[in-house]
Amino acid sequence: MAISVPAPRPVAVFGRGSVLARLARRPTGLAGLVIVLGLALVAVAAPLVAPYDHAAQDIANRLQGPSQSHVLGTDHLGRDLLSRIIFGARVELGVAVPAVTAALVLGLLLGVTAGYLGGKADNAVIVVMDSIQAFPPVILALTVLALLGPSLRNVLLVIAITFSPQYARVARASVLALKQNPFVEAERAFGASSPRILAVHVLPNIMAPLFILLAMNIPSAIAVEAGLSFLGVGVQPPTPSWGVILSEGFERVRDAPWPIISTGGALILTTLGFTMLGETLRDVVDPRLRAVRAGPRPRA
Amino acid sequence: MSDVLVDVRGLRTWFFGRRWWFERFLEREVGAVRAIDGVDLEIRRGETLGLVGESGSGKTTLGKVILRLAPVTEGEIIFDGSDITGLRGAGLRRLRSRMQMIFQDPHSSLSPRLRIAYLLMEPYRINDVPREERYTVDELLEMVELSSELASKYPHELSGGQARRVGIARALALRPEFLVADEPTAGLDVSAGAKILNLMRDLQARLQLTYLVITHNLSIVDYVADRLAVMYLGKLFEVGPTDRVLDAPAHPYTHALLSAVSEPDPRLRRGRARLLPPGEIPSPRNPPPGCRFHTRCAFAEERSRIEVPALEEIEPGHLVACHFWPKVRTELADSAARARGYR
Amino acid sequence: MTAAAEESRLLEVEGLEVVYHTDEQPLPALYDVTFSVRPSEIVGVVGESGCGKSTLSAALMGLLPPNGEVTAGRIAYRTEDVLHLRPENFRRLRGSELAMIFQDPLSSLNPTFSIGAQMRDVLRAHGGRGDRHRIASILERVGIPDAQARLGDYPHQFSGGMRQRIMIAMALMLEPALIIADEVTSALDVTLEAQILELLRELRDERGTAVLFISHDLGVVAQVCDRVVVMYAGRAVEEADVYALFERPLHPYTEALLAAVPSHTRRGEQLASIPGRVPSLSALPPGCKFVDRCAYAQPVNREREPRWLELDGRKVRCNMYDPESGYEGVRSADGSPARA
Repeated sequence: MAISVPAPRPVAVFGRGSVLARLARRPTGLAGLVIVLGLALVAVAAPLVAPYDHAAQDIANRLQGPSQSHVLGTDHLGRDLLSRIIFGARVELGVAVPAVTAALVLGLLLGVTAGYLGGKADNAVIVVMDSIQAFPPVILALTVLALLGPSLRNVLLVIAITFSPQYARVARASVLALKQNPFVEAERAFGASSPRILAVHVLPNIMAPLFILLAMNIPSAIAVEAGLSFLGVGVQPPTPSWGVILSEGFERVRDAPWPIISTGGALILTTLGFTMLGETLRDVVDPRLRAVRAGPRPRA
Repeated sequence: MSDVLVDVRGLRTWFFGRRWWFERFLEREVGAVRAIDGVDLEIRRGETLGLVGESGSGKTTLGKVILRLAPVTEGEIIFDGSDITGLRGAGLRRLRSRMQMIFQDPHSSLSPRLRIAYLLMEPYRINDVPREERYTVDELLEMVELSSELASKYPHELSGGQARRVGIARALALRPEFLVADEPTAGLDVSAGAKILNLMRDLQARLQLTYLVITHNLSIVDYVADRLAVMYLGKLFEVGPTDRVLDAPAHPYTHALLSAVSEPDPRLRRGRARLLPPGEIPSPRNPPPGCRFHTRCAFAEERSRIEVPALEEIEPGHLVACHFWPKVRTELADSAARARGYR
Repeated sequence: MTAAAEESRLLEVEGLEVVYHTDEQPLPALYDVTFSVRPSEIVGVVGESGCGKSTLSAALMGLLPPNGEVTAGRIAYRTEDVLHLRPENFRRLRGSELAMIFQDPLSSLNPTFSIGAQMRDVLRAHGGRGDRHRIASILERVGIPDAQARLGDYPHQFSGGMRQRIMIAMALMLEPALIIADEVTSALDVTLEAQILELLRELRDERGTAVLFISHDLGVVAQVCDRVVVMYAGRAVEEADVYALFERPLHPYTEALLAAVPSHTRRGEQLASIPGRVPSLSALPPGCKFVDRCAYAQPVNREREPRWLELDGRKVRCNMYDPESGYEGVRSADGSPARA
């Protein structure tokens, strides 16, 4: 008797009893949601929210601590830190979100191919994924950027490549499990072709864990970008990437710690927000927990 | 038009598992799971054939192989006169509309993220069936006695019995002639199961269907099948009209199955134990030589280990593969009668 | 009921009520369930899905999920009330006096430990020593050949039938007086099922082990039980000696259930299935829960929930046998019309 992995039940995203509602009911979920949405809003509406132009210099007031006019202080060129951080959020999300999404798409394609086709294709994909994951990401990033030159686009590329194996693995594992399920066989019995089965029946059922991974990966991607910019091989100044702000502030940290503190704080908050969101999402979507709450299934 | 709809000849299906490329050259057969190991079977138009066996017997695989959902290692399958063993592509797709399967687990054979209405129309979409030739969603639901309000629901919102009916409706969408039903009442309560069996009977009469019912449950087969085939470790042990096979079984394994069935009648308890074969079913990777049942059979002799018994006809339409069938029949006749509730 | 007779009962369940708390509304899973098990007795609890038998077995072992609550009634093991027992005391009971075996042995056995180790753990948890010899002999007794050599094997190295036997062996190790067997043969082949049932009967004969056998399969219950309790919609609706129950069921549900089992005597006819469906726990009708599907229903059944009655050694919950119910044409236990 074959044991089939129970296929995931579809859940509504909005509305009562839905993912969003359950997420908001938990404190970590709510906090995560608020932070992430707040961040997104700030990033999108940066020109409206930021008190100053992020590039406006005011040498007279350089390296000042928090004050009434500059809530988070100023940097070595007198630029308002709060504004720079706000515009920096734009840069960070503008890099991290597309990059991780690209990683998801790439990983999904490779993982589904490997899982569904098996055999040589599977082996090939695994070899490639293992190779990428074998490199310490920083080294890989530095190498690629040294070869291609430092720029926003290349940072995006690097992040997409280094993060894709995770998605590939999750996608592959999900497809392997799902392949055993009778409904795949049933569709084949009707004459469905493999592309159709993949698109209509397999793909929708494997996306959930990938989205959660996406949420969890965004802070990592931001950290990678910040790190690269800090080292000078990513986004170049004067673009206010948080890494750039950190790098500039680092040189003068003894005299004026505020750039580091403020930017560091922003990074911590962002990471916290996304992580709380991602982890709570994962708990909420877990089918085992749902079953107890919903009560018994209809009988006969 | 021939009487025989499905004719299986010399069928073998062995699953080899992952082999290194060079093992293919060496033709390594050791360790292969011999799911079907030499089966000849006929299914006649309009009948219900019950295929009975326990785990590892290969019965589900046989059903799938006939529908070309599982591979053939050796042998032929003839459907309505044509050899379908090597069919592929467009020819195979045309075939699919003539034979369908009702799967064992009602819920997991329905794609979870799609609504029932979509699932019911899938076969038409896949096969580009023109609108005039399609049943509507309501018609399909009505055929299996389900209300139209189920059309907008998801599979997990349905009960086991409802999900199974949806599976039947889907199988009927392409107007097949031949249906393979895998454990039609598994997981269902007694009354839900009874309803499914009744439904299947009605549909058979209305739509002139031929059924292959695969099950380990002898009482279903007793009720619903015209003929019966008993399978063990990839081979058929006994085939014949249900009444004859169950009233006067000629194979020790059939006797064992009968005596093991828990009939809902406590008076049938006495003296059944001695017919139970000791031990468990051997692994299909390594079936016993000679007669496959000899390791557990009370009648086994030296010959059983060496010679594979062939299916021979002992009365019209009733075949058995046993070296000692006359002895088996006479010695166990009494208990067979008791097993079926004759006092 | 004399004190002595009461003492002799291993398990006594009285007026048990269990409710599940869900996001929407509380679901009444069990209501007024009463029965007992004596030593050396095999009592069957039979019912279709949704009847409450899984809730019952969970409640008996103290294994209700977090949202389940016992709202009324009493469960007593040898007159010791287990509902109000402290967890550590209940743990002492569980395993040594009371043991449970489940349907799917693959998920009930830890795949990362050998069976010898798991059995030894059970022994040790109850203060015994991990005696290899004792473990091996119990395994042999349940029919695992070559047990001594296989102590180091892992669950996945055994077949399904063997794993079920290992579970039984684990349950037996501490020589419990009562085993609760919950759907233990449902996943097994017919010949294996017959072997396991035979094993249970032998254990009862040899050691006086009582069994509470929970199943949806009437056939299995008929083969192995001495007494049977039939459940429907969270209530016990009939209790009788097994022969009496199958010979002449009193409750209309039992009667309908027996008629719905396929057998050769009904080939060619429609199988008598029970019209309608089991009522959902969230929408139970007032009065008798079987009223919408009952061939003998009368209007009074819609209002009045039948009482649990005792007649001539049999028990039934049905207005048709209750002179006080207002049912027209009340019957007595042998089916004949009752005397006024």
